[in-house]
Amino acid sequence: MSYCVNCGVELEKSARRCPLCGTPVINPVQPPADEPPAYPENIFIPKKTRSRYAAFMVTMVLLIPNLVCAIINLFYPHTGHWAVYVVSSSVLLWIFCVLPVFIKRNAYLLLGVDTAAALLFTFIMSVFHGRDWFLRIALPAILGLAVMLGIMIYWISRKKREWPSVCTAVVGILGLMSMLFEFLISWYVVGRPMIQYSVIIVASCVGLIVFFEFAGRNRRFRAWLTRRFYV
Amino acid sequence: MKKIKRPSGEKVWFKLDNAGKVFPGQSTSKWSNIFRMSVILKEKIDPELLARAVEMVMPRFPCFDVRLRKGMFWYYFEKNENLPPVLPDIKNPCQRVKRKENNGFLFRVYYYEKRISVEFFHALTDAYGTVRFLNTLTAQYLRLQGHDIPPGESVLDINEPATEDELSDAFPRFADSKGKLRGANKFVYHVRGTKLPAHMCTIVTGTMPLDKVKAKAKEYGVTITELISAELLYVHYQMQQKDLSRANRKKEISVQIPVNLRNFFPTKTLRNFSLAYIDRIDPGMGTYTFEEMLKQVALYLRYINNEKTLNAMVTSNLKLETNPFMRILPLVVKDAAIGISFRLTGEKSTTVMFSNIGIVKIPEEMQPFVDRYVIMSGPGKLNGARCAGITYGNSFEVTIVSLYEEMDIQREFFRRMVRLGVPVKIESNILFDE
Repeated sequence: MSYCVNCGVELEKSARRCPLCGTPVINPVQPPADEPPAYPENIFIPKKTRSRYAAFMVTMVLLIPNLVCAIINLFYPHTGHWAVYVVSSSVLLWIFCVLPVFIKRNAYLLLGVDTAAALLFTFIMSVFHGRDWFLRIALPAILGLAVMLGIMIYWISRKKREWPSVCTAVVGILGLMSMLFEFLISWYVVGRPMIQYSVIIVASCVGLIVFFEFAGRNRRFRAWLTRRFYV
Repeated sequence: MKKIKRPSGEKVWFKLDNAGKVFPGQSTSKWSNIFRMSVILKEKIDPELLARAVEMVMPRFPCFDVRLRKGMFWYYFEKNENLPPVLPDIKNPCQRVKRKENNGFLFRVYYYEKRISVEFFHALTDAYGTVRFLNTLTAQYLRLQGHDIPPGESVLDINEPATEDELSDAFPRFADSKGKLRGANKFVYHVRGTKLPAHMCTIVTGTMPLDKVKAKAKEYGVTITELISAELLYVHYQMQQKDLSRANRKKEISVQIPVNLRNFFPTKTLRNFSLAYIDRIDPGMGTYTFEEMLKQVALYLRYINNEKTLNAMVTSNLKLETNPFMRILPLVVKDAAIGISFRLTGEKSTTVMFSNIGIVKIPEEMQPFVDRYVIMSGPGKLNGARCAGITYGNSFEVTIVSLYEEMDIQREFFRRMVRLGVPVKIESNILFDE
């Protein structure tokens, strides 16, 4: 049996440090024995059930008005296909907000499902409006965003990134997306692709990127920022 | 865990007792009011034998053989057809209770090396019932090993059915006080620190020789409960005086001391029958020495510790439950009200708790097999340290459970005991990464 030289309490035979003060046990006469410690190693990590419960509740709350709308619309077909809007927007909302509770591990899968849902939603909308903007605007824009987000997920999952470089990436994506949108929309509306207004956005994005890059490189400046703006 | 169906006739059900009614409402997804008692035997535990012992003991304790159900207005207990699982022990005991986990049981049985532990949700029972259950279970386990252990003391006879008295809610039976209690609870000082993850807690058990502690208490002219409570208060007082915030330094400090009402009223109920005193010190009055604090704690406890005051406390608790407006509120509303009021005021009136179970008595034939007992209260939501003590033979065990990383209170408390001349042996669930 060893005593803590700092606290004066007797310790367990297997103790290598005093649990009260952390002082190491150095007893040449009796080195720490390989006896089992007072508590086993396995830690019980309780299951989180609350988010699933909330997800279930949201699903139920969404389901009821949707069913009601769909049934009413079925009984009165001459009033148009208005229930399609309700149901498809609810499904989109559910996939965006509730599905992440169930798919937690696989970010690419979630991104894929979200992209597919967004494409399907815009496709339904364009079909009901009888316009051709789906192929020329929605598809390339959504796919472009999905590719960029996919690259960003890969980039973040490689290793832990500092917050300035994450900000740089987000601002960069914003700038690129604004360019892509203007390109597609002007092509569809005017007939020829051009980039005018997004230059302003891109310029401010570049300014922000320069700022964040500077913040990322300069440790003292970053420390000052963290200190001043901690929440 | 395999579920075994046992034949049952009509469903037996119980109302929750008066004290137990608040605990399900206080529970959150991360925290429940729970406590744990362990017996350390002299040989390694055989889990299969223990599981058989649990099965044989359960019929003797119909009030624990239950699941928690929701009624329209109150929770109630219903006979549980499953068997409680016997689990290998974990490093972070005193987990929250979930109604649907653990085969529906509100208590858990753990084994580790030479130790059998039971964890009870406070809605089921208090420490008295837990001692009865654990000792009856241990005696049955030893009998299955081939030893002859007669019932007696805190070992109940498993061949007899539970008596009416044991299963009854004792609060309404004895509450007949006309007296009124004065004084609202003030918000008091709490030690703050770095919180551990929600499922973790630090446990430090100090084993002390009873005769030395007793001698020291006698020297001061107080009881052991008074001595330990005053020590805890003093440790917190010292921490408080170092606090940087002036408002915190001026707050009162209080120690909550649960009391077993069976010592005052003639009943042996296995369900909750305890209340808590709150003993306060106001640092605004001036600087306290330890002796002054000890005197104050001891005298106040002796002044308040009488049947009349307790009866008034029980009656006032009961009034809330029997109030017709409270009764017809739906359970959802009650739960929300209890939850919110507990979050706002619950632990704010106590700085620290010391629950002394006293001496555990077991039959003479069982004594050679039992080494010692450990009791711990689960971590509080605010209390930096919750403390509980139990005595068996000559070993007095004090366990401090905390939800903070810092060990200041535990260290200071046990160092003070050493300085008083009481040797302390420490065991803990903290292991340092090397």
